[in-house]
Amino acid sequence: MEHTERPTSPTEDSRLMSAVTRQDGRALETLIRKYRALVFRTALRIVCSADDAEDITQEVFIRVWKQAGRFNSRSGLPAWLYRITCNLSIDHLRRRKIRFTRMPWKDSVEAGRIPEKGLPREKSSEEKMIESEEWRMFTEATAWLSPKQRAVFTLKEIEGLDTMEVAAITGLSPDRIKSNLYLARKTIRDKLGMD
Amino acid sequence: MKKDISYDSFLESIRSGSAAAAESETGKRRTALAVMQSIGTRRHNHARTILAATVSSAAAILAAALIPAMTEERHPSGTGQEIRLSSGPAGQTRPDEPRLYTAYKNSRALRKFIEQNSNGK
Repeated sequence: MEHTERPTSPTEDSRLMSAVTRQDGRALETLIRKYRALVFRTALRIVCSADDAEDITQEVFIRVWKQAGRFNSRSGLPAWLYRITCNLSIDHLRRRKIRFTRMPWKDSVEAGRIPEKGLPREKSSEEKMIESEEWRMFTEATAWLSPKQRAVFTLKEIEGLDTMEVAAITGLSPDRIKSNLYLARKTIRDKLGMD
Repeated sequence: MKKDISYDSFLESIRSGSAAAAESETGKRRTALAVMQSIGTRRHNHARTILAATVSSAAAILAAALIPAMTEERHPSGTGQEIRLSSGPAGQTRPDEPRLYTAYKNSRALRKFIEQNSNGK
């Protein structure tokens, strides 16, 4: 499983989740600092909007706070976070009914960006990514995928999870995952003119 | 739309770009602040909801106890604190005083009245 955070032991995660169950706010803040990147990049890759990904990320951790008692330590905290993130991202896409009629990458760049006076500031890594040609290609191509295909493609192809992990997160059978992935890859290659 | 980039290179650029965007300290602080404010608000609202429900339940119990009793005469028990809900002779509340207002004037007397009314059934 791809992680850029400091490796955390399941014991430490269980300890933190126990504290969250007891309404310990500091434990929740620790979890946010540890796993915000995982949640945000997953949501971002599925919904292709930084603003929406931020909203989803916040909602994920609010749910962690409210539903801490449901956490099963055997499945691991990252898997639980992936599941919540995917479900919220898919619900978001279905509500928005994303189709190739708009440029979400452009909305992310233009929305809420107030020009600053004085010296131009260095762009954040988020802004650099959103303005990149590859990201534009990605959002245009994935706009043709169904929400489930987007989720499977993100988890399998970009996050690098194996089929069984994706099955546990999405609730899909391994065969359905393979077929979704095949269709997603084919669509993206066709739209981008890649072999 | 044909691009001079391999599929694998394309995926790697998406992977690294979105990972870098996700790692920003600003983003972590923003998320933490928003989440902590939100759960703080929800806990406050939850406490208010509980309080409102408690008050509402107490009012419902009070109404259920008083409405049937308001059609009957009550005799004083000699404590000096009972509530007289029937307008009548000396020692009573003012005839024009609303009956429920009388009930609210003395909560200890009210509890006693309810207790007596429940035992009398």
